[in-house]
Amino acid sequence: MKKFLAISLLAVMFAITACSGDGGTASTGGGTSQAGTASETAAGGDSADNNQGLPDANLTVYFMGATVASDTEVVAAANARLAEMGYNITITPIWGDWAAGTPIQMALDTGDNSVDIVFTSSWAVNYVPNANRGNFVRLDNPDNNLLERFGQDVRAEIPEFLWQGFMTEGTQGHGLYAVPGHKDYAQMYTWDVNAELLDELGFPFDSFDWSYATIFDPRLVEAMEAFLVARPGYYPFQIGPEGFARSLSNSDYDITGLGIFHFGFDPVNPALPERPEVITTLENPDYIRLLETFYDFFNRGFINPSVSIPGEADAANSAAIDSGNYLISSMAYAYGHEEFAQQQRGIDSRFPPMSAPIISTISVQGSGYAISIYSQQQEQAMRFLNAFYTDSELATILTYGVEGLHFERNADGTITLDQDMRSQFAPWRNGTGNIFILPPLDVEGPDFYERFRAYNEAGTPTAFLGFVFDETPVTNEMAALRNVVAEFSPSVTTGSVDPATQVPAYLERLNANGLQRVHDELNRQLAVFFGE
Amino acid sequence: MTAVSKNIASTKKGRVNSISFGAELVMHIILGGFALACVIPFIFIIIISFSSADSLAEVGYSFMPIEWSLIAYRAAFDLGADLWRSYFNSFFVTTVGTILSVIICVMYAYGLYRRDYPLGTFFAFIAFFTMIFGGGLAPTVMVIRNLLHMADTYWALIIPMLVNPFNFFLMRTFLRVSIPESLIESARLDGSGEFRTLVSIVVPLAKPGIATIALLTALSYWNDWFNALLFIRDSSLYPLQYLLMQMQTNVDFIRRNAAILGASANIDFSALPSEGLRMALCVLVVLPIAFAYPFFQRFIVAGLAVGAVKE
Repeated sequence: MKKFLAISLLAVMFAITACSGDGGTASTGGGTSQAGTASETAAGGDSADNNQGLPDANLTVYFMGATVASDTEVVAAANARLAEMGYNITITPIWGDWAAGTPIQMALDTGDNSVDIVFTSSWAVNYVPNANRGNFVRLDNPDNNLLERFGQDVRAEIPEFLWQGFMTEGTQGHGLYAVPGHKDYAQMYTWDVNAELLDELGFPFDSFDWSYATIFDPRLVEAMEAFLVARPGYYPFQIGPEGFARSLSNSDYDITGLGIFHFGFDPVNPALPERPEVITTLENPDYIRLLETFYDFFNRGFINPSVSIPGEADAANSAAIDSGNYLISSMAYAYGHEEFAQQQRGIDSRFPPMSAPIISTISVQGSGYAISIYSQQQEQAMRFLNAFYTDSELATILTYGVEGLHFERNADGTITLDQDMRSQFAPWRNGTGNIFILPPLDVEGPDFYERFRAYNEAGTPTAFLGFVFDETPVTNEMAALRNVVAEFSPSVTTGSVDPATQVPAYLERLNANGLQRVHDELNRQLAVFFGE
Repeated sequence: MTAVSKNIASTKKGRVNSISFGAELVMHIILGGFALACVIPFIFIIIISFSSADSLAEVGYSFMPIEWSLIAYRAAFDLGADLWRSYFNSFFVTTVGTILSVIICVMYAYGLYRRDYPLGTFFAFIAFFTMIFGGGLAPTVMVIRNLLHMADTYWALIIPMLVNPFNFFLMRTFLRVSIPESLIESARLDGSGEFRTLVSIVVPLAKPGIATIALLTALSYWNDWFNALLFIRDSSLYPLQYLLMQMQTNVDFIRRNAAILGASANIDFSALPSEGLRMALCVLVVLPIAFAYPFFQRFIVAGLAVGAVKE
């Protein structure tokens, strides 16, 4: 018995020791790194003046899209830079990868006060819903205007319409709940064409004008017929459940998120709405013509039937496009995507624009940083964001690493990355707050950011930029409509079913689930928006 | 074969509860079909994991791939330290968690089993109450993270699943069915203390029940990824399931949003795990726990049989 008790006790002691393990010490591999205290780092600086009596802070900042195995030197350099700037702030970055959206959201939803600043966007850690739910601090709150008190530099640095695009409803009223990311904010729909194969099939790429209307060109049908003969078992037209159908010329994203409303703008002056009130896309004759074309393509065997199965479209499309076994597709283009496509596919893919680049509420919300409502250091968090968005040296450290270790500076102002070190430390540049204060890479050339700016400036703000739909008055209807959309959209928008019979059925179900109420509410809010 | 079973076999016609050959055949077909439906997906995963990348690109998922390949497993083992570290984490958490959880369960259930324990009803209610009303996610996170400061330690993966009221009642019922209270009385008359009675008399007799609880608990720990999502940010502490889940999410996200992410996303598409690799990882995750079943099986069958005996 004594022996048994002794062994049990030893086992429990071993477990306690092992479990306590290395928690709380510095870690690597995409995890967190503990920083020294702010007072240690800031010692000797002129912090007393700059810090306005705020207590020392160690901020946890949750980034996204990073591949980081080791960050010890980077964190030390970033904290040293903050100290040099006179801030009594240190940071502990969490280098989230592309799967980080879920843990960040979980941290917000569970009231985790160990996280101070989080990445947010319109596509991950969704900005508007989190502001609505009260997860973010309102930065321009009249009762405590953090932007005015601690963020005047970043306020001036970021273009005004980006701030406009980030205005939204939240638990602390209508205002700003994050600092917008300053990157590619213009967005356009483009074709994705396998030009190499198209030429091989006898249809030179340049013989098409590749406007939006090219989808109706009979020669495109001929090319796809030829594809079926040349590549049996594959499908020439890769279409997502929303993809092409959402790319109606001269229309903004459906800001309700349902994908059933047509936010048309004036093609001559995109800053004006096409009509004072939005309509449902199913009432738009251009859209119906597009669905009929897809149905025809589907019947001809141009479209993979599996794309109508929810969740299957992305996998089916990606597999075909990655292997070069496709002819045409469409995409929401991001600046520089060609480089990716070449690397990924190893073929001559081209991306002619379907329509001009637009600047919309959705596109400007492509990235940003918000302060968690559960942060105990909100004022210091705002001060850090101000520095992060405006200090080139700090931003460069947190994006490219330490000079002399991770990169070298060149005489022309570019930098050359050490590729071995880059495999250890590679944050996502577009997820950095303000990419325009970063040095260009040598492969991009010294004029990279001029070209980038030109791309952005070619974008036209749509009439709906800054409009955010507040669904609070129609919450139940929106929930019901989402279910109807999930049921019908994958098949109707990919040509899998006959629009002549299914569009009326789709509309009937939408109407039975409160479409009119949401439509009325949407137009009411738009009237207020345009009235303002 | 026992005398009773011989007797039943020799008087097949007249045996109690016998069914006709046709009905038996139908039952076998239905149950066999059900068993196949359970096993086929896993067999399919194994086949895909051994399919070559070309085969997956050309014919997709198929029971008969064009070409077999070990490349997915080579890629999985190339993950190196991350994979093995996660394997260790899962084994460690499962082993320690299961041992501690079973110890707590047996001790708690023993208290509930003893009808002469005055606080038995109270503690039964306490346990039962948590089965009906949970504490909720946010308070759980706050307790583990802020109160106990267990984030980024193994404890965060062990403690939240340590106490399972369902297992308490399962064990209590098992003890009541299989161990007569007169045995406890006898032990006491022979001078055995409570702890010795539990360890030397109750536990050996309760092996089938304990094995059942241990298997259920080990399964829960092995398959858990949610606690890692909530509490673990240090990748060296990721359990295997979380590593797999994260890898899957990462790849899905990149493939879906490659265009939106822009040129700076620094994604090496050739390095993204293929379908084959993901299936190989599924196989590697499932195999260890699948091997645990035969070990526990004889106890579980014995445990099931205990309740069937009529006195």
